[in-house]
Amino acid sequence: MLCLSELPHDVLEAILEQLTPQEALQLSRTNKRLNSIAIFHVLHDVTLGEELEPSDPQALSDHRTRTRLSGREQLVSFATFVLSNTALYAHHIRSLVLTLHIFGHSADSIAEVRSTSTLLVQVLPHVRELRRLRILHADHLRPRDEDIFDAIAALEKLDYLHIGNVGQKYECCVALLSRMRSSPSEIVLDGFAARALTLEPFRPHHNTLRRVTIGGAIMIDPNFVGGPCDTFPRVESVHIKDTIMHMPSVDLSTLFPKARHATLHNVHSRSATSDRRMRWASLDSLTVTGASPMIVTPVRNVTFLRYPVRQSLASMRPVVLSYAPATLDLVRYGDREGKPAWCASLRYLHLYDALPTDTFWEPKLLPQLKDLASTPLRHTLKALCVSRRPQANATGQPGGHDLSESTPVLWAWLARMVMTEYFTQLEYAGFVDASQPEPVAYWYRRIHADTDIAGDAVLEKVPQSEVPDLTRMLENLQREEA
Amino acid sequence: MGDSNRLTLVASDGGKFVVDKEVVQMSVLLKNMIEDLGETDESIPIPNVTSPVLTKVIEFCENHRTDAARTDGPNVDGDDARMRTAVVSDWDRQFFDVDQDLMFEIIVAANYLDIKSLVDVGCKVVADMIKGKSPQEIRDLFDIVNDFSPEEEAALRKENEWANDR
Repeated sequence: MLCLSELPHDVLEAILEQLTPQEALQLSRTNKRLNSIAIFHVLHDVTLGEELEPSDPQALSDHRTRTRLSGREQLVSFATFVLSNTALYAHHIRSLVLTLHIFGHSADSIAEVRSTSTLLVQVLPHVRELRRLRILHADHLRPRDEDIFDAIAALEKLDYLHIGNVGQKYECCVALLSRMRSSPSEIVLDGFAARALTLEPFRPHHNTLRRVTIGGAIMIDPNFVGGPCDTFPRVESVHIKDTIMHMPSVDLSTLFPKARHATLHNVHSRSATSDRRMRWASLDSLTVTGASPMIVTPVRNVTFLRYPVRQSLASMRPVVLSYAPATLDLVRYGDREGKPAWCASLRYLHLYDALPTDTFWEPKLLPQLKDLASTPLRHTLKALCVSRRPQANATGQPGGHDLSESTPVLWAWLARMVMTEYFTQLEYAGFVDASQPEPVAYWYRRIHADTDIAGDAVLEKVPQSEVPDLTRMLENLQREEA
Repeated sequence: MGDSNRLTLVASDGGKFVVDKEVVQMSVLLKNMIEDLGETDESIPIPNVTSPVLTKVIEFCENHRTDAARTDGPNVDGDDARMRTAVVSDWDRQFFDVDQDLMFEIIVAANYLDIKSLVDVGCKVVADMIKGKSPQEIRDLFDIVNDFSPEEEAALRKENEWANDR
């Protein structure tokens, strides 16, 4: 009779590929043969350090009662394990994440802190297959720990490098980027720096970078762009936050001419020219949070998160526009003043996260929709979807009122209200709750030829089986309009 | 001369199975053998697989014959995470609703015959059985003998302390 522990090695490997490192760890403790195979999967993705305390009271209680090693103790334990047999263990490590207090608490002695960073410096040269490295709190490194940057620079296969909270380690990070042997496709450099960053340190990677995240009081220097090596022709995704750009003669589209996705959060320009309009023809989707330059070329998918500056989209012809509810007031503002409407071409609007999470959601949702209907969208919108995003509280349980408990009659009533009272051209109305384990979606469509006794539109519910096709169709509808 | 679109597989216990070549070709091993043999009436012996197991393997291939083309192709970024979250279809789960011995024999046979989709589904079913369980629960479920001494277990726990409860 076959037993799990007697399966061929490659079959066990295939099973382990389906497990998380923690699940592989449990399997590794059952039996010697399983241990000899599973432990390498535990090493594939290593996360060390203390977790942030959850906000949920019950989860916080569980979090505090669990016995855990401190971040520093975890690093010591990990390094000791790997160094006990580097030839056997080190080359299995593909991803290393160092989170909170990994380099010690302020209460730790200097000797303890030194031993921690020394151990890490000893481990890194052996981790030759490391592809992904995240250090979330570089600012926790002591001045004497900086030889860690030398060890990182010597790694040869790093594809993803994320240094968070750069802080006073700015010079070290810049030096690291300039001399690292790896050619990563993604670099994330985040956190307040005492002085402005130019893109100069990224220059050695201009031909390999595909994704860039820059954040935290970082300045893009006007003197940077000068030659063909000063653009990043392979970058597909750009995420820039809390940045002041000094670029009188160049804009982001010049720096990243092939970027398809951009997230701009609090991107301020101190350009000498007053015209901040930017053409960025390659851009397919844009997420705007806070101030951003004005982009005047069409973008297929635009998402506002919080505090948008509506001017950014003055001339844009978006295909699918997504809003968080906090932006709705700003939608109303200006459009009532008779200014050219940014939304003139909009046919399908998806209001993300607009369904309140409590039981009595109608009084909160309806005024928002009514406000929206006071814009020119009233006569142009063909489809509207209101949804609640997937979300879980700290215990991993879905939060909020379960829409599936609401009666279909209520949804039908709301759809009719939206179609007859608010948006005269609306053909489809959908209400989607993705926060529950089984997402709930109610879609209704107008039956054109029919009206009821009162002269109102007659609706029918879209069968569940047609909902995925409907969503695709709506996006295509908007694309054709644009 | 027999039907050129069908061939006979012979299990280790002598059981014979006449199947469509198209179905058999989900197995990379058998596909290569057929290409090497060319047109032939000879039966193909499958010495490592018993009749009950071969019956199940053929049942799976019959059911999945049309999605063979869909499952081919190189891996792309993020495949690991997608594989972990991919859901086993109802039919596949029902297919593996057998005793553990047969389940493992099917997976081993699929691995030997090089039928990737069957190996993937089987391994996912086993992985789903492991998820969320403690070492002792896994031992109990799969009848695994704990061959660690208490001292070895303690040492193991100590040396993997960094990975605990992550």
